[in-house]
Parts: sequence; structure tokens; C-alpha cells
Amino acid sequence: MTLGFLCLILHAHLPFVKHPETEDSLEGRWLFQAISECYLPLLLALKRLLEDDVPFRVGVSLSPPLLEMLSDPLLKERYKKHLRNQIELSEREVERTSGDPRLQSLARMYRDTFQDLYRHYTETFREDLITPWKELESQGRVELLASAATHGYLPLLLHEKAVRAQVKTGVAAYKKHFGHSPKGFWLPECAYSPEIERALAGEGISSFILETHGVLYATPRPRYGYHAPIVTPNRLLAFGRDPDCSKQVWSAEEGYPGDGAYREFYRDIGYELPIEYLGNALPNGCRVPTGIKYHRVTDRRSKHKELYEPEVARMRAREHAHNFVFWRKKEAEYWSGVLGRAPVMVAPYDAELFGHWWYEGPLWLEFMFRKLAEEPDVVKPITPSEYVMYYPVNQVAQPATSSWGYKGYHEVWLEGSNDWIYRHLHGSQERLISVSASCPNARGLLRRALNQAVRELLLAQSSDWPFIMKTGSVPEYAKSRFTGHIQRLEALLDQIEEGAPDPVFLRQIEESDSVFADLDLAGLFTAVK
Amino acid sequence: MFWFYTGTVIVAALAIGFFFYRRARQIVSEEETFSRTEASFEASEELGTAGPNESHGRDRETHASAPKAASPDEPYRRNLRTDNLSKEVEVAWEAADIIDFPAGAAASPHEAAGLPPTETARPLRVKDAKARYKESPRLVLMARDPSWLYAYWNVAHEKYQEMYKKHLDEWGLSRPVLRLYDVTPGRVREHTDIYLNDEADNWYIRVDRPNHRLYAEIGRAFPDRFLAFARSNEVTMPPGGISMEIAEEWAPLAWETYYSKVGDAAGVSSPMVWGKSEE
Repeated sequence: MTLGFLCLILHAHLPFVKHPETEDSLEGRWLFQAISECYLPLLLALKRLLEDDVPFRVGVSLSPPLLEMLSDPLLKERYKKHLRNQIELSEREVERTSGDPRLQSLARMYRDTFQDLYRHYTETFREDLITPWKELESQGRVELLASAATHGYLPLLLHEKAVRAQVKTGVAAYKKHFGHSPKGFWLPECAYSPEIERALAGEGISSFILETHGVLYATPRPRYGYHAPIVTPNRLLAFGRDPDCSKQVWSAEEGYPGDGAYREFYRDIGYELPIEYLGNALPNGCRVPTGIKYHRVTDRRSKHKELYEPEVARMRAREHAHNFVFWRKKEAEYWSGVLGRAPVMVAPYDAELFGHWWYEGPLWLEFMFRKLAEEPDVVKPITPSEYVMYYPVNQVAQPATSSWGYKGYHEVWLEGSNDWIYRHLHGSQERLISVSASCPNARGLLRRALNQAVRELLLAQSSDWPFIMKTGSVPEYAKSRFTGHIQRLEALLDQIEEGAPDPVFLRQIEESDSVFADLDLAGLFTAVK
Repeated sequence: MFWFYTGTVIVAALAIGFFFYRRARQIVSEEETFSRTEASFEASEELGTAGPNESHGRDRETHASAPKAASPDEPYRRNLRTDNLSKEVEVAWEAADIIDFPAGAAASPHEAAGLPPTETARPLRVKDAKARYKESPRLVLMARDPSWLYAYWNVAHEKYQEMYKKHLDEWGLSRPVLRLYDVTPGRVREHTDIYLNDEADNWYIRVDRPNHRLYAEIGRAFPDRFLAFARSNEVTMPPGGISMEIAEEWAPLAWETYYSKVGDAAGVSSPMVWGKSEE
């Protein structure tokens, strides 16, 4: 008898970063690091599960900017070059560490890993990291969720048209890359307010995921807490995140990734070896992580780090996976008794946690599904849209405004470091809406300019910019990206109003801000509502 | 001839001396102006708003953030307009208009990367962009969480000037005010005034009214009336806890034993935050 359901969701997203004229940069490497450390290892882990016929289920959201970057020919070329540089560096590392057998075995591990990655990327997947996900979906193992166009933080966009533009473009990009309509939708940062829901309903979406209190604080009070989805006034299914699932994996204090046996994220040879030695492993001599890390967490409170032991870490990942399954079983047993209904435990994570921050994450995932399969009827893995097959009738309630950010509301994206962006964003947005309305039948150059203006707005709306301004990792980059897009948008609107777009300027930004290049976006705002 | 040369030199020296004297005077007077502005700014903060600790038991629970420029990099502009306006009006207008992009904000990734812009294309015409939206008067409210509201505004210069001219004699008695209306359905409509200062163009307001529906107007409070420049959008504050409304056919179970404790755990999210806390 099924006692409970585990609905695991991986959300993969990176902001659209493409600078054709800058060969290599810190920000440009985000994508390459994520491919090498997360997307490829995750795909390989799921493929192994498939080969062994393990009945796993995962909801996967690949954000539209990520899809656009993964299919961009220039970025694909650059990724291969990046991997070749990494292989070359790891070969030099094998030589450099020849005096120390323990270190050298780690250097060898990296060399073999990078070579494998290159082979898988070019041969197994033929430089296409989108089709494998599509295949996993057609095999019934993965449900692909759509997401907003550029990860816009929907509740703070103010105009309904802007929210609609994000959702519609996101869905259009999904259809373009996956060839069918989405059922589930990933709300960027799980950010929700009742106003944004109509845009989702208008696109035929049937479910989305919220932070725990998005469901728990719903009106009226939900009978099953977050252990069952609620039906929103627009007849969408809203799932609430299971706090235990997130705490065990996320929490820096008590979560698995902080275990002493796991690889230490911050000790990277990119920060430690001489710049001359690292050479083109660094972009323009700027220190960034190279992905070669020889140490383990050891003790989180101490600076002293021991060498990494891959086999110990692997066994620890297995232990943690079993621990996770143990607690899910307990949770299912308890709640199915109390509620009289098998609880659903919704476990959404940023995909980049698995492999990038938590190097052993993909392994953990693989062990977890294998363990779950040992008792397939106790806790059953499902995807959001499968839930209604088991429980088609659910309670109607209005979910609460919420997000999965710090403190549970919008503060991360609206506070002292980033609140200044909204007057520009809303102002430009309003201007774009009125300028678009004045030329509903634009053709030729004018239409291209309008299309590009919408692209610039979408890029400016990305929640990544205020997030980075707040967390302070590369705030200058985030500021320049945000202001850059607003300035381009304003310049384009001026030119459109004058009826004379500048073709050279237009071509230049069409090339660099090429997100959704083949979608006709102008219609999003020209259409009279 | 000697006297001619000597005379020229003396005249020139005098002229230069006078020039520097004037300049020195000017700088002093400008500094005076600026520090005066700052002083009045502090005073108005004291007068106008209640801090979070002082607000207990008060009917008006507002807390204003320190006023600041929209962009952290942008200093207040010191060179004021030469229009025939009182300093106060000018300062207010300039404050509303300072939201220029930070100087050197890269228009292109080239510049961001410290590279020279490409020569083939015309420069990005950023300077030409008029950012017209800055001219439109607006007041926007954003509900940040169950307790806090964020408000930002632009005030149209013409409107400001118009009002100033019309109410010249009592202008000194008036103050910039954000009037917050509670229009929650089923409740008596009421309002609260938040006293601003002339430099501010955005404000954080502590409202502590989960589920309430609010909107605001920005304007100036005169001794006997309030005159508004702009009206905001309406916002609904998020619920801050478990709903007291219960649907009979879905009567909740087991809440006391478990769910009622859960709300506090909210907000463990992104990997970057996770990574940060490791540092």
C-alpha cells in the first residue's frame, strides 16, 4: 500500500550571459561550471537509473535563458574550449603533484572526469543537452516544467502585461525547445501573489510549486496542510514545499552538504596556485574556481582542511540517501495515519545545488532513488501532474503571497541594495506598453526594434540582478547588466518613437542580447487587451 | 611705456585676486546651503516619523527608512537650478530627479569588461536616451511582506511648481506627506499620514496589517488641508499566519500537533545563500 508520495523537483536556471566580444569572463563561466558540475552529472546519474530500470520520477524545470544558452552555437563552442582548457590544466596537475601520491590520485580523478565529460558532451549527447531531457520525459521518468521567460520575479513586476509577457514567453520558449505544451510551471523563486495567477491560467498551466507557507497560510485553512495540493480560485493545483525535505538537504547547519567527508567548495586551485601557472584556466588572469578542489569540508568551523577522499564521500552520500529515505518513510507512515490520505512530500531544489555546491549531490540523488525502489509501495516517487491520478479531488483555497527567499516573502529582491531598480523597471515597462500600443502593425525594421525592446525588458526583469546585488557576489556586474538593458530599451523606444531605428545599433544588440531570437515578441505588448 | 606695463600688471593681478576671492566666497556659500539642507532633513525626520521602538501603542505605526538616493552610487546633486524657486522646492525637485544611472554604468558588456567599445557600430546612444519615464508623475506601492510596504515616487516638476506658486505664502507651513489609505473591504476606511522630507523619493513603511488592502497619495499637508500630487496602485498585504477561516467540508486535522509550528521555518532557499552561510 502506498503510504506517501515523494515529488522531487529540480529547478535549473542561470541568467542569460552572452558576451560575444569577450572571449572568457567570470560570469561567462557560470554556464560552463554548471554544465560540467551539475547538468552533465545529473543527466548521467538519471541515465544510469534508467538503464537499471529504477522507477524514479523527477520534475525538472530548465529555465528559458538556460535553454537558450544550452542551444547557442557560440556558447557550445566556448564550452568545448573551456573543457579542453580544463583537461589541459588537469594534465599539468598530474605532473605537478607527482611527488605526492595522494594528491596525484586526486589530480588523476579530475583528469579522467574532465575527459569523460568531454566525451559525453561531444559523443553521447552530441552537444545537445536538451534532447536527453526530452527523452527522459517521453520515457515517463521526468516531467518538464515551464518557467518564466527570464526568471522575472513576478509579484514585483507591477503590470499585469509584464507578468503575462514573462509567462507567455516562457511557455513559448518551452514549446520551441520541447515541442509540446507544459502542464506544470516553476514560479521563479517560488514567488507568488494572487495577482499573478491569471497569467498562468491563461496559458493552460495546471500546477505550480509554492514555499510551505504559500499553502499553509491559504484561505480557508487547508485541511491537509502542505501534505496535499490545494486548488486555487483559477483552478490550478498549488503544491507546498515540504520543510523537512528542504531542511535535510539545504540547511547549512544540519543539512547533508555540510558533512566533513564531502568536497570543500571554497578550496579551489584557482584561488591558490600562481596565476602564471594557471594560465588560460583563468579568464584574463582573474581568480575563479577551476573545478579542481583537493580538500574536504573536514570541520565547517575550522580553516584546516584535510585531503578529499572520493570513496569515503561516496559512501557518505549513500548513507545520507538512505537516511533521507528513512525519514520520508516515517513521515509518510505518520501522516497517512493522521490525515487518512497518503501525504505528498514536495521537495524542490535548485539543480545547481547538486554537483556545484554539493559535489556529491548527483550521487546522493542516484542512491536515494535506488533505495526508494527497494520498497516501491511505501513511498512512491511522482511528478506534480501525476498526483491527480491518485487524488483527483482537492480543497479549493486561495494560496498566500510568499516566496522561498530568506524570511519567506519579497525582502531579498526588495531591500536597500536593490530597491532602486524598480522605478526604472516599472517606468520603462510602462513606456514600452504605451509605445507598443501606438504601433500595432509595425513591420520590417520597426518590428525588429520592437522585438528587441521587449527582449531588453525581459532581460532587465531577471530576478538574478537584484539577487546578486543583495548577496554581493558580483554586484557591479548585476548593476551594469540591469542599467545596460534599461538604457538599450530606452534608446530603442526613442528611436521607435522617432520612426527611425538605427540598423547598426540594432544589429549589435540583437547579436549579444539574442535571447528568444526567433520569437516574435512585439505582439506581447502591441495586442490591445 | 613703463607705466603702461605696470598698470596692466596691477589691473590683471587685481582681477585675478577678485576672481579667487569670489570663488572662495561662492564655495563657502554653497557649503552653507548644503549643510543647512541636511540639518532641516534631520529635524524633519525627528518630527515626522516614529521609529520601530517608539511606535508601540501609537495609532500610527510607521517607520521610515533613512532617506537615500535611488542609486547607492549617486550623490545628491549639489548644483541646484537657477529657476526662481525657493531652495526647498528646488531641493525636492532635484531629489526626485536624481535617479540618473550611476556614472560609468556600462552600456555594453565591452565597457563592463573594461574593453573599448567596438568601432563598427555607432556608440550605444545611451546619452541620447531620455529615459522619459522619469518625467511621468507616479507613486508606486509594493507590499514587501506582511509588515512592510515600500513606496517610491516621481513628482512632476510642473505640478510642484504650480502648487508652490499657488500656495506661496503658506508654503513654509506645509510638509511633504505620504497619505496611506486602508480600504480593506468590510472595514471603515481610514488613513495614516507619513511625514516625509523633501529629499526622499522612496520610503519603507511599517504597516503591520496582514491581509489589508491599501493605497496611498503623495502630496503636501498644509495646516488645514492635504493636496495630492499623485495616487498609487492598490496593494494587498500578504497574510502573516494561518487563516482563521475554516471550510466545514474540509475541516483541518492535526493542526495543533504539527502544522502550527511550521511557519517559522520559512525561507531556506538558494544555493548562493547556502554557500554564503558557509563562509
